[in-house]
Amino acid sequence: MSQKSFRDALNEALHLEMERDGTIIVLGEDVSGGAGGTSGQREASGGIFGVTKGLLPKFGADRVIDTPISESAIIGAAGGAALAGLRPVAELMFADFVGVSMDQIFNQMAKFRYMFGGKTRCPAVVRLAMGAGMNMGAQHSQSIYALLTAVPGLKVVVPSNAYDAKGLLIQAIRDDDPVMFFEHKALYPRKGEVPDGAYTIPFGEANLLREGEHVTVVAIGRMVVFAEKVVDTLAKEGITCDLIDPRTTSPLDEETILESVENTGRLVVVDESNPRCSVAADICAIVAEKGFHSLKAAPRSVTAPHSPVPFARELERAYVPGPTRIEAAIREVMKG
Amino acid sequence: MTAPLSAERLQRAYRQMKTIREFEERLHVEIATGEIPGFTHLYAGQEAVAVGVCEHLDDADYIVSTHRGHGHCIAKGCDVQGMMLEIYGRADGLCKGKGGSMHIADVTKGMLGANAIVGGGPPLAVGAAIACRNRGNRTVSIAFGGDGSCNQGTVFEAMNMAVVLKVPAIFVIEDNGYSEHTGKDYAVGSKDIAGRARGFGMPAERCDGSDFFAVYEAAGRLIDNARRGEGPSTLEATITRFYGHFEGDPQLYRAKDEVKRQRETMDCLKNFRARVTAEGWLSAATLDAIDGQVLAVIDAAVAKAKASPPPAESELETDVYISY
Amino acid sequence: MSTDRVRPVTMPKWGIEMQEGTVTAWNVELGRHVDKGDALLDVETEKIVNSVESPASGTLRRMLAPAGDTFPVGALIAVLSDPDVAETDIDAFVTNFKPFDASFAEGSTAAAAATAPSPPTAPAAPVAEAAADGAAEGEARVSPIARRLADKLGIDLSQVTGTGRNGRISKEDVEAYAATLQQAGTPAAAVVVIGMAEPVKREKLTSMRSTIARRLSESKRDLPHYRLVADLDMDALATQRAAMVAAGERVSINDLLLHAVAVALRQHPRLNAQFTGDELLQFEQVDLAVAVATPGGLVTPIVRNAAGLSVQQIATAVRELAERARAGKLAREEITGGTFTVSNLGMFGVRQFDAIINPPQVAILAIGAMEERPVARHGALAVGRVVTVTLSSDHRVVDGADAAAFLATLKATVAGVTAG
Repeated sequence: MSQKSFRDALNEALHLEMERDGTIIVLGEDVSGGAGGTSGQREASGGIFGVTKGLLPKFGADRVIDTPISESAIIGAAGGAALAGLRPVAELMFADFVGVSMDQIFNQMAKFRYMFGGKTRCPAVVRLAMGAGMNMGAQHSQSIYALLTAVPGLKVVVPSNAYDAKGLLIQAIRDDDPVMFFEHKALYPRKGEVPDGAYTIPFGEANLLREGEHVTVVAIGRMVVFAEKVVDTLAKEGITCDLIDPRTTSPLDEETILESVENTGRLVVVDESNPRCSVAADICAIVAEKGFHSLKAAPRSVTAPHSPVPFARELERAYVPGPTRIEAAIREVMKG
Repeated sequence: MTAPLSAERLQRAYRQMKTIREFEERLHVEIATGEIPGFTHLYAGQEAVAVGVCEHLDDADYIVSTHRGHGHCIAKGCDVQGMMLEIYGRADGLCKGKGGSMHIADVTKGMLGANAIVGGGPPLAVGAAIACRNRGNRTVSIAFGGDGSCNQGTVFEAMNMAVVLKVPAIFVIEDNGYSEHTGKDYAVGSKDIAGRARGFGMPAERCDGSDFFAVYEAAGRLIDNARRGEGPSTLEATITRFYGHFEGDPQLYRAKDEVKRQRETMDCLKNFRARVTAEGWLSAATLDAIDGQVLAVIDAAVAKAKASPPPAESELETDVYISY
Repeated sequence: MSTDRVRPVTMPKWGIEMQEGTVTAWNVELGRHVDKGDALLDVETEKIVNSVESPASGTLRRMLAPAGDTFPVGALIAVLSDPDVAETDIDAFVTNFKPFDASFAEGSTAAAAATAPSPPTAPAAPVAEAAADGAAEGEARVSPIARRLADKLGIDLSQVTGTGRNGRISKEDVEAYAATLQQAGTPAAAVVVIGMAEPVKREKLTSMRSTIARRLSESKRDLPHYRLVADLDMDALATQRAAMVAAGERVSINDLLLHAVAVALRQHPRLNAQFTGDELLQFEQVDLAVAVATPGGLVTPIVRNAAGLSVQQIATAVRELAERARAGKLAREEITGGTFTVSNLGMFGVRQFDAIINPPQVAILAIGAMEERPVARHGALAVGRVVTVTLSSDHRVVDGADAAAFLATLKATVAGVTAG
């Protein structure tokens, strides 16, 4: 057990699992890097964010595959390899590239098990780097897990910290259904206590990070970091909150959220995505439908605005839901 | 001339092609009654390609098919009764009635599914080919596609990826002259499908899809090369489809007597029969006997499908996940 | 390629959308031989005109679709047969033919009305695949909120059965387990006072009781209740009652008190009110809610315009409402919108008690038993009939002086009542 970054925790997960199971392969753009380069050096990247570092030298080019820029072929190959008995972990360098590979995700791998009468399995994992806050512009900064949460047949994972990241990635690799694994770029350097060995965290089980009486705060991905700050500050004032990190949006741990709202009667959901048809909207609707009689105030969501991610620093700062807006939302539901 | 296959293998090839033909011809009649739900795309006329390729494969090899998948399915060894039940949407269908004509699959036979998305299959085939390569057991992966699919970006990506990763994938393009209602000469800019594949860095050949022996020979060579680790290739087979793009297609884009002419001149079954009897490899009586047996099998399959129950409503939400 | 001797020709389905077709022209004559694939007739649909190919060979025995008429897909339009089949057999075939319903209408196939938005929880598919197991090695899987509750109640989670997600222990499971502990006599940390020696009935709260429970808790918690107690001199009222009973009227002491309360409220509209949290709504009309005990729980049906009714009218109304309350037959309008509530436990011998206000009302009067008590009158000891009443009021909007003034009026009204 020691302090490790989110990125290194993911890397550890990959190393441990690939050692354990020879059918696991990794594929994506520059997952090793340097193929065909004039320096003759491989491992030029270890993945653009360093998550797949060290895998090629250890496991070889048959299992760590640098691909051309062909997202449909990459994801399609993952689906086909999974049907054929391998356990692929494919990478979409930026979650935004889901666009050019969408058919292979939502028409193909999501639906094989169902369409083929339950007689196949597609144990593929697709890792996607998402999120804003690093000035990468509209097409490299989105948080679009809601699109995939909506697709039956997929599981969607959004870890918020290094410990969860490792356990959830190992779980994803061992899971026999197709899993979309979202990694917020701004979380990669964040450190936390992470055990050295392998461990799993089950899907559909939220983490209760703080306990309180007054408000249920649900936060997703990087928003957990901001929400924690706000909840701790408000606790000093006597406003205490249950802080729930769902960890997976599909399956979603509705039970924990509803049980918490039964106690507190108030809900705030924090989600970096755009508001329409977001997971925040989904959670508010679920609570309104199933927990209506527990509510003392209307549920509130704190999301990005209905706009693409802007480039200028000041605008991007205003785009991402921050502690100020989260605190305002909590205070507002306290008013009833 | 010596037969390129044993008498037993020749009979098997004929039986497979005849089964596909009668399966499709019967469906043409049955679909018109309205009893079969949804879209169906018939393969009648293209049998020699599916069989000419699949006769080189066994259960450990993979194929990925298209929306016009019945022929590939049968050629790869899928159960005819199970297929008919699936097309009728019955509980005992190959996919429990949940896939239908466009999504028939049997992974135990290496058949990774018919695919309703044009161009959806080739990337999957490349993935299966990666598995073949890594296993090092000389297995191969075949991606069937039409002339229509050749203009889909996913196919180009798959071809390039197959070359770059040097995987044992063979792309079999069945040029039947039409991509839905549009002629191939209009839609394929270079008019040369094999040439495109060559452009990606792999060997590509053309063959006459109405001649079983031509397909069998060319496919055999390319599959062998792949088994030996020489990488991917493309086989373009020129052929025709006797029916429309889908059942119900009035085919206004086709000259009035085109099909009639093609049933005379491009019928692979007629061609096969003529060849094997002329060469003395098989007798007409043998072939007739196979004809009779195949008809009986198809008859029985349809009768059973009509009498079988649909899936129970409780099956609606099962098999979405393994566990959730 | 059917070998049936009689073979139907039906309106074909061309493409997914076609629901019906109109016959435009026949191309063959009745009684002629037809080969499979021959163009029998032309049909026009919304989109195209096309020929219907004969599905089989045979003699054309019936043509059932005149040109110009429209038929749904699957309808019988012609009959083919072997040449030697009798006319009567053909007739029988036509009569017995069942057309296949190829429409998309709901109910024609399993038109599943699956509206449930919630994802399937652990369906028929085999559980315990690698996915869910890995996690809590040996430890009970518990929802975080359930764990918190269990800690609070001092419950050993290994004893609890989970019925939540994939067998996880939920809050409900912990609560259920806690309830069984009480019944078993084991000291459970919080919840409920008396431990019984022998098992008692296990009653899950009905929705009605749950609602009552919740509203009472909220009221007690959120409204600043304060109480004023007064003793009412009941001699005059008792005498009046005796007179009315002798005259054949069915009235109770409570009915007389209700009348007095209504009259007093007319003079103190600040207590005949509802408080929304922002506004105090004072009413002219006195809609008196009367607490009635029923097997399902306490209900408070309302006697509308109680101040405008005579005692007898109040008595009748209360009797009738109570009956229907006990039968569970009260309408929603009869239990909502009261302006003041009266609760009487005198029949059980309770001398004095405090009642809980029913929001949005601002006050409630609790009436105790009428007793003979020693009273001091004009310096001398006597025995009088006395009822102790307790007025609970919401201190946000009802000041002590207002409440006290109301009680004073009530006292005076009751003491100085005259027949009528």
